[in-house]
Amino acid sequence: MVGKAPKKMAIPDGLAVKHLRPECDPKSLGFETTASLKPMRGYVGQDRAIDAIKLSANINHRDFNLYVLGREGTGRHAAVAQLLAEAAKARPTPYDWVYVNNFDAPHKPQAMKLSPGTAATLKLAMQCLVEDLANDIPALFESEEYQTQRRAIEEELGQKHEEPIAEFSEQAHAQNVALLRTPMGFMLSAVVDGKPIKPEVYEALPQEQREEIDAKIEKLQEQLAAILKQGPQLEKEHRQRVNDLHAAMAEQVVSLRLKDVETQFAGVENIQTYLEHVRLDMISNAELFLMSAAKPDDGPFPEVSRKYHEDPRFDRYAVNIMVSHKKGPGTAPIVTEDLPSLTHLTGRVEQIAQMGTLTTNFTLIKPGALHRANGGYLVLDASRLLSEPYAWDTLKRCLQSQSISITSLADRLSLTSTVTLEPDPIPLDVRIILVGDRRLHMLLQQLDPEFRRLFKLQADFEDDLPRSAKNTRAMARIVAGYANKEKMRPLTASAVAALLDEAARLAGDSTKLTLEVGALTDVMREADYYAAGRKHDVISDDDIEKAVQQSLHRASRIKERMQDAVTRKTILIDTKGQAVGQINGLAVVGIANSYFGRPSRITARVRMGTGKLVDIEREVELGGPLHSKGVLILGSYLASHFALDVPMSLHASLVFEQSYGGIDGDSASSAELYALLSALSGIPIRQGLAVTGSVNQNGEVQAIGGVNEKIEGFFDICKAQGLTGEQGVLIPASNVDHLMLRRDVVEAAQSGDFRVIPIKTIDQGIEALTGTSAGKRGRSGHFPQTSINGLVEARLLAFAETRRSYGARNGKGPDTEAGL
Amino acid sequence: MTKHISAGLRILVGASTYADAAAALHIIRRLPKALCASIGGVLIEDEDMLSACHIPDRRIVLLSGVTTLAPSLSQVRTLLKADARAFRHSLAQTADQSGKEWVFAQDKGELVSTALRAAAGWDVLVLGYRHLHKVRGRVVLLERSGSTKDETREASRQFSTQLSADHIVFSIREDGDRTTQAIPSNNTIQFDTFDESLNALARTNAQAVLVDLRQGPVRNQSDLKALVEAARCPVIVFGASTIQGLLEHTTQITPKPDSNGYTNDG
Repeated sequence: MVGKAPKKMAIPDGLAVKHLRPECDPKSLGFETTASLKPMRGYVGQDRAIDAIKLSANINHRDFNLYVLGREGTGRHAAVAQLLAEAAKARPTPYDWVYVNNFDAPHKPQAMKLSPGTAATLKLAMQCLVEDLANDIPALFESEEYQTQRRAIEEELGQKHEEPIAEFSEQAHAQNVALLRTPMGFMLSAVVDGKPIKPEVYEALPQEQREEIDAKIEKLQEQLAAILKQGPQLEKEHRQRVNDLHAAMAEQVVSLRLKDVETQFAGVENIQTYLEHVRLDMISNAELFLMSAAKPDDGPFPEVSRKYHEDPRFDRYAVNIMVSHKKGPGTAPIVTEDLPSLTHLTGRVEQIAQMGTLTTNFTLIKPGALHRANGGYLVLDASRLLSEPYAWDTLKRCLQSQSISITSLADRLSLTSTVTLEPDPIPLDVRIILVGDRRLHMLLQQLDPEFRRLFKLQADFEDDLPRSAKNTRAMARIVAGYANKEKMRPLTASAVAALLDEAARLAGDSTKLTLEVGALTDVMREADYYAAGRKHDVISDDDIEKAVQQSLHRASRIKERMQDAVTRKTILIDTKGQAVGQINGLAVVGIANSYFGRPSRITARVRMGTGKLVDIEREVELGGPLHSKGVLILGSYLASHFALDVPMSLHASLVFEQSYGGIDGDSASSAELYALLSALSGIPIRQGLAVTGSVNQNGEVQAIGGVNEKIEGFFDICKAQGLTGEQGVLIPASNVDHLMLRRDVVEAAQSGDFRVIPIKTIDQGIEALTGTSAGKRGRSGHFPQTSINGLVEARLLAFAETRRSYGARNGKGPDTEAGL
Repeated sequence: MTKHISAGLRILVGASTYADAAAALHIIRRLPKALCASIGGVLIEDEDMLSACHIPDRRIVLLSGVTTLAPSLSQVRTLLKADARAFRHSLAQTADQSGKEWVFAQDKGELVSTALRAAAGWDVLVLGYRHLHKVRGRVVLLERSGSTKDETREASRQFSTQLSADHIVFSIREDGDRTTQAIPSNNTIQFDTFDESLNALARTNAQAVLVDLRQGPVRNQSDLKALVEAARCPVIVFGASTIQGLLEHTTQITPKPDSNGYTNDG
């Protein structure tokens, strides 16, 4: 395919070196090392996002929650943390919240709002109260006062039992009747000669006497039954009186001890109400304190130091602190939850196994991030939040209801049927800050109508900022501040300049600087390591360059494999000579966060047809929609530029040779068009040149992405196959501002071994590629015959004529497909 | 099974039903472990009760106050067998809790006399009597006025402490003691006659009654019978061996063991 070209135009000169890599001049920075620079306060180029964060942090109206969007490494988290910390100082310290027992409905623990610092005091006071009563109540019930009263009750009730039985016994004795005990109960028997009557004696008695005995016994039986029937009632009376005594005794000591606590929290209405419930419960459950005292203390410390409040019996009087704050002037809390699961957000009700079953009580309620952040700010990672089951749904529910309700996942899914609690919801006043990427923000906006209502603000972090002198100096101060903060060596001015050049390259635009500070700081840290290895006190531009190169090297395994395949002719790429209908297109391969350019051979073949342009990539479904769009556009270009007065009678096919993966994007559409023009005109294309750029229907070449990687990719292949001085890349002129090429590419351009040629139109491009004039339509409406366009049109007209002749010969219309 | 007798009190429980025995065992379980060396139990088939069941149309009054027809003789025997099993089981449990030896036997006859006969060689005899109600009663010591025996007093105090009950002493001036000056005390009630004391005891809510046969005022079986009927609670008898002379010989109850050991039926 490679043939001899006729006398050709020379290859156009490439861009000047200054356009290939507009480097930062260290002298313009105005310092020698960053040690002399004052670190930058605030954020450069993020005014829009900063204003949004400040608004969200300070506005008091509900639902002004914030979604912080932007790329990784743009300092979103640091900015949020700093700005929230400043705003938090102006907000009041939030209330403490505790859960206490609901004595009326223990499964619905009661939430109590307390002034800051009160929760811990109340908890301690209740523990002391339990300690005191656990000592006082047993002592009280051992006291002579209690024993005397108890004895009096028992004696009185005992007497009520005994007296009727004693009288009955006397009566029975007087009537010569004995009370016999049987396994079932009592039996009465007449007494004869001092002994219960024998059956034979009874049988021998006259009928009247037997009846008399029977009547007597029956009467006594009825009396005895009546006496014994009184027993349960008397015992009930006994229990009641003893309980009343216990309550009266317990009330004395409980009220006395509780008065201290009531005084301590005088004026706090909800605590006073709670203490009244405690008082009533302690009085009616005084036996708890007796049972606890009776339990042997097997701890290592003496009985006197026994911690009664740790006894589970007294959990009912515990104070479970959900959140507490220090008393006095403070700040609103800022909580960052790294694992925003459902339970980590709203808290959970834990359970313990007792006798093989799961039980719980209000002391097992554990707080979540919403409790801790209540009254302040909660910062969450959006993607983590959305990946946790039910977490997003629950967060929205809490924000809507402005309260924290604890519901376990197991309950929601009905996975367990064990006992659980329904704690009082705690009122919620929190500002949620979600940090995430733009895609997630867009999806939430589109798919979740509640998101827009609950997250009214967005802080959109810029990816880059203009490369002005002011911004360059500001970036230098940010670099200095980071070096200082991370205790790294200072950077020389040339190192900062090299770093800013890398920032421009990362921005993909020589007129901008990336704001992905994270990526720059990674380079700085690595450079600091190399500087330490070289025992330098400062980080130099060599260290920065090495860090950048090493980073590229670490990610270059695939790239080198592909280049090796080209060098060994496994993948066919010509970088010398000429060929008809064949051109080097350029693509960008992205693996993880590493991108590199890869040339691909594009070939075009033509013949007479019915105006069909076959994109083989699309036919086999290896081409994406954007690629197909580009091919259709170039087809339209052909149809609208050539042989306008005859039917388009072309059948052409385009293919990316040795492309086995998918291909998308329209950056190769100009290259495909050049290949077609070459195939139609029969003029060969210089294989030392590669092409990138999309084309529109007017034949204008349009900007594409990844221009640096594409140029460098072709350069590496050319270098591997030998630089000839006739090699280079045609790029859209509108991409010139995006150039920030590697130093070795720039050096090759400087020495004339390689060139980067900006192209505005297809005509310019085809001339550079073929060395032949593209040609313009003259007044006659025809292209010059030897021009590319003239040859293309002539070929298309020939196809049309052939097609017409063929149709006439077969008696069919020119549009028929027959024979093709 | 062979059990070795060790030092400490040897306590025998005598009862005619399991309900009576259970009340006695309840008290024994509350005693300090060191106080008791071994436990015995004897279930006595009360012949009077069996005879009474022969009389037609006799009824029984249950503790709940409900009356029901008296069981037939065979039914009574079945009930007594069940009572024997329960008594034996409960006795074993009580002994096992404190690691004591135990022995169980069955006999026939009148409760007091048969129990006294069985108590030969035992330090203490407890005559069971079921509780008629649950109100905690006193521990009553019945003693002859001027008694010099402090051991029984000490034992009654210990019992009252262990049973968390008030301790009260019924002191009886017998004819020979009229001149004896009683020691004044808050918990001592003086009586002129034994019958007066029984009359008072019948109206006292007692948990247990202690009496030492060696000190009086109980001198014979009929006194003891009257005491049991009046107390309506377990009666703890010390010195039961002292009235052995009143007992008839029987082969049902083994004599006091020698130092070699004692064989039970368990």
